[in-house]
Amino acid sequence: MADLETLTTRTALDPMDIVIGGPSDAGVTLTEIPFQTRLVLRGLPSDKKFTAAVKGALGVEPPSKPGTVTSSKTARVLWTAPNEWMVYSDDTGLAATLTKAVAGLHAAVTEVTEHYTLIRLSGRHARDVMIKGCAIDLHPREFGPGQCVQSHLGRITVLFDQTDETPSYHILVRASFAEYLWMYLEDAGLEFGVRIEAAG
Amino acid sequence: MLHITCPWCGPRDDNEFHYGGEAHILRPAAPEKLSDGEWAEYLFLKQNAKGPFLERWSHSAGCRQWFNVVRNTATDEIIEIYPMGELPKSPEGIKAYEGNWRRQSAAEKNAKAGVSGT
Repeated sequence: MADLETLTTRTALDPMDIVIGGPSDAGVTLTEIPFQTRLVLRGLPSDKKFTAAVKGALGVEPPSKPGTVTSSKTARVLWTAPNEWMVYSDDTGLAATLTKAVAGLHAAVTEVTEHYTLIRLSGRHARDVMIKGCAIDLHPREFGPGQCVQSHLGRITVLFDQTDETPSYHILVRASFAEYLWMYLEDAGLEFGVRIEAAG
Repeated sequence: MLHITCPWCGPRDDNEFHYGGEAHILRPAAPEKLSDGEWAEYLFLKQNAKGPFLERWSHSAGCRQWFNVVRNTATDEIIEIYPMGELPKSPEGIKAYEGNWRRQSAAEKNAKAGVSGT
């Protein structure tokens, strides 16, 4: 039997032995954001008790408008369906807090942290890299901070949102596709220069 | 490539969607009262229209919601998009719904009898 003392937590990208570094004037930077709490929240946006309970736990109501994001100091809440949201947070105990907050209501909280990997793509050419493999119009006139999209990127299904004007994108990908997407983004960014940064 | 307007997410490429076949096929409430032929009509026979056709789509790579579409199968023109559980409102959609042989089928009459509780 494996000695539990010697086991270490690994992310979906750990087996790639990614080397941190790259040119300082790189057009894009890539960062894996490991182990950030990710929750799927389900409930009825028309239920005032539900939205109030969520606001109490997260500091913000879940967005009701498709493709938008609300955020607070505690969490970022992304619209994924009319009755479903993805919650990002640095609070590792948030699943318990949120489950308690919506207890007794027609709602569900599912922790999916390990099911996904979050990759941040940032830099002055980040938009150019994104539009190589994504059919969504990411021009600033159409898409900016506070908006999220579920679509295809490099032929795989992802959820991403823009977090600042740099621009930066946080791309949520299923763990089994993470290695592919990382290599895809490195390759797509090659012409602009890619720097790999450690999260933190 | 078709552009399909998801009622939630807006216009997207068709490779984000999953096709769900003919819409408005009601499941018989008392299948034991149908003959084998009538049951086979419910299970296997589809309209295969040339022209406006009522069909279901799911935005599987996006919000994963199902909805109904009236699409002209000859030109691929999308005439109307409407929610699940509702009937089409466009003239083409109404005509396609009412003109479908299924409205007269024993399976659908059986299903509707079950819905009304008789």
